[in-house]
Amino acid sequence: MDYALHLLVVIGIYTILVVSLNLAWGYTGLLSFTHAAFAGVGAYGTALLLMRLRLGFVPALLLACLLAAGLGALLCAVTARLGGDYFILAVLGFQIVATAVFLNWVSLTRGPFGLLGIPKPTVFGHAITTTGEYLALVAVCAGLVVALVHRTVTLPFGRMLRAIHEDEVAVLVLGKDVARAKVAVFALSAGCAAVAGGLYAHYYSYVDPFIFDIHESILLATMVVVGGRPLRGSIVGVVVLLLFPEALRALNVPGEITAYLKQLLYGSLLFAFVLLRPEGLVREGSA
Amino acid sequence: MRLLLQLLVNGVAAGGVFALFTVGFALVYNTTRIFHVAHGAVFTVAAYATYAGARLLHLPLVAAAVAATGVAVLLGLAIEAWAYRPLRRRGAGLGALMIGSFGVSIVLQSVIGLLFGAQEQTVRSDPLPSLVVAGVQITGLHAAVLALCAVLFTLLQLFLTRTATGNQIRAVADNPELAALVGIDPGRLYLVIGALGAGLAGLAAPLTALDTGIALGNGFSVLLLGAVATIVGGVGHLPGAGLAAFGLGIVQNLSVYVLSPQWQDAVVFVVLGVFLIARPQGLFGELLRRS
Repeated sequence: MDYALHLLVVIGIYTILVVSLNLAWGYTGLLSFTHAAFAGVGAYGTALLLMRLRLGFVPALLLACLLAAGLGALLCAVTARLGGDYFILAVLGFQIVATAVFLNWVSLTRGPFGLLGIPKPTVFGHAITTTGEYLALVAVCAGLVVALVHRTVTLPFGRMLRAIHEDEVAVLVLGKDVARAKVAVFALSAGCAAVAGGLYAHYYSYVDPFIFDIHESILLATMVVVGGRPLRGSIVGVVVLLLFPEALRALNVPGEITAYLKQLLYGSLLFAFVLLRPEGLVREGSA
Repeated sequence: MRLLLQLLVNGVAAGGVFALFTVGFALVYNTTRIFHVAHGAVFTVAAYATYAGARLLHLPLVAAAVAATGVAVLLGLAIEAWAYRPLRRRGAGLGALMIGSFGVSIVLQSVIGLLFGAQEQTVRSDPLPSLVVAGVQITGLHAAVLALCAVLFTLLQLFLTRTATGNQIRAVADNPELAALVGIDPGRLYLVIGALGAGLAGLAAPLTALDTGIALGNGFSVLLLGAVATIVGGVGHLPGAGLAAFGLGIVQNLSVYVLSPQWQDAVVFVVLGVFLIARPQGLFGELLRRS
């Protein structure tokens, strides 16, 4: 039972991440292999603000989100005027630099040893200790993020985002401020990803730089590709890709081999979906 | 001072290897417009092929290196024929081709991981022949890298400018629709380009393997550097890409003087950031050719 609750917590955290990546990539066409880094900013940010500055969980999480959103806005402002490949590479660069910072800023992050003993959160005076309570917290946060993203993509602003994805020049010709829209979306997306990071850090009470590396960003991208653009698809992508490692664990496959088999699956799925079903499992407009 | 000079020498040698790899990447990128992520995986496969040849089959080092280059060429042909061609036929855009390439790259890396495990491997047991000039060690491999670069880049330039196939490749790079109109078959050229590009990665890999040994993550690091060098050099400009790779190799090695080696990948992107802000067209590129 506790294991089922744990799985649901993990699914909830990943749903936040994939929905926020979907907003940037699926809807707006801003392909980012760096969302794990934003989650890392959220995780380290929340944990450090709470442990070092004795802030409460909620203000720490909000501040960390603001920090990630600010970094996302800055990154996008510098790179958004670049063409597609340049943008992807420059944004991927943020992931590489972020991992190097998490690893090497030892006085702040303790480097490869990671942060240990991150306390369980207290939300509005209520201590979250059991997995069930944590699931409720994650569910509320995931619900808020999904609602926020859903609202964003259904507003007229959302139609503009899709239009930017389809034909950026046409939107420019209509006199819309494409660059500002991109920066706003990327900031929102990065901020949401940071929520997931903060929840992750306090759930496991531990973070290290390797949790938020490029492999994680690739996993998130794979989830978006497999699931497809509708927000329901993001949840499908998360569940499909998270259940596979759980199945390997149930079959007692050794740890090192599991890591490679996971990569093998992600790579094969990426290629197979791009080739055979580029729209993902859940089609837009399907019931 | 002596350390700085040694780092400079190491940087030049590393830069030569990066230049071989990067020119391969840029060749594919400039002609097919595919952001060829799998190029890094070709490098990894060739590096482990060198290891397998030298350590498991006990081939002489040169034979192992040549065999590895052959493996890389075959892999390049396979990626073009079995991955990129079907994607193109289904009308995949450049973004989809890049994701597909990412997929291929991850599959190859994980297969190598399953076969060889995560631990770093060395290829040779004896130290390299070397001479010491003013306290700076220059190995035979350093000299071989520079000689190979000089010979190969001259040959490549001659191939691209003096042969019919080379001219067709440049035509496709310049304007694929127009090239198709005058009866050039891009499918055949993409195979030639795939083989050439992979061959260059397949030369860079054994050179790195002989110099510093091999690790599973090398392919991705060198891919990032190659992609950055292609942009910093100026997209569409092969010699620029090669020169930028040389420069990045030197900068990366010199950075060890002040930073821990764990910053090496990040240093590359700091250079990219500077260029994207100050000179987005790159060293030799023309401003804004938007597709």
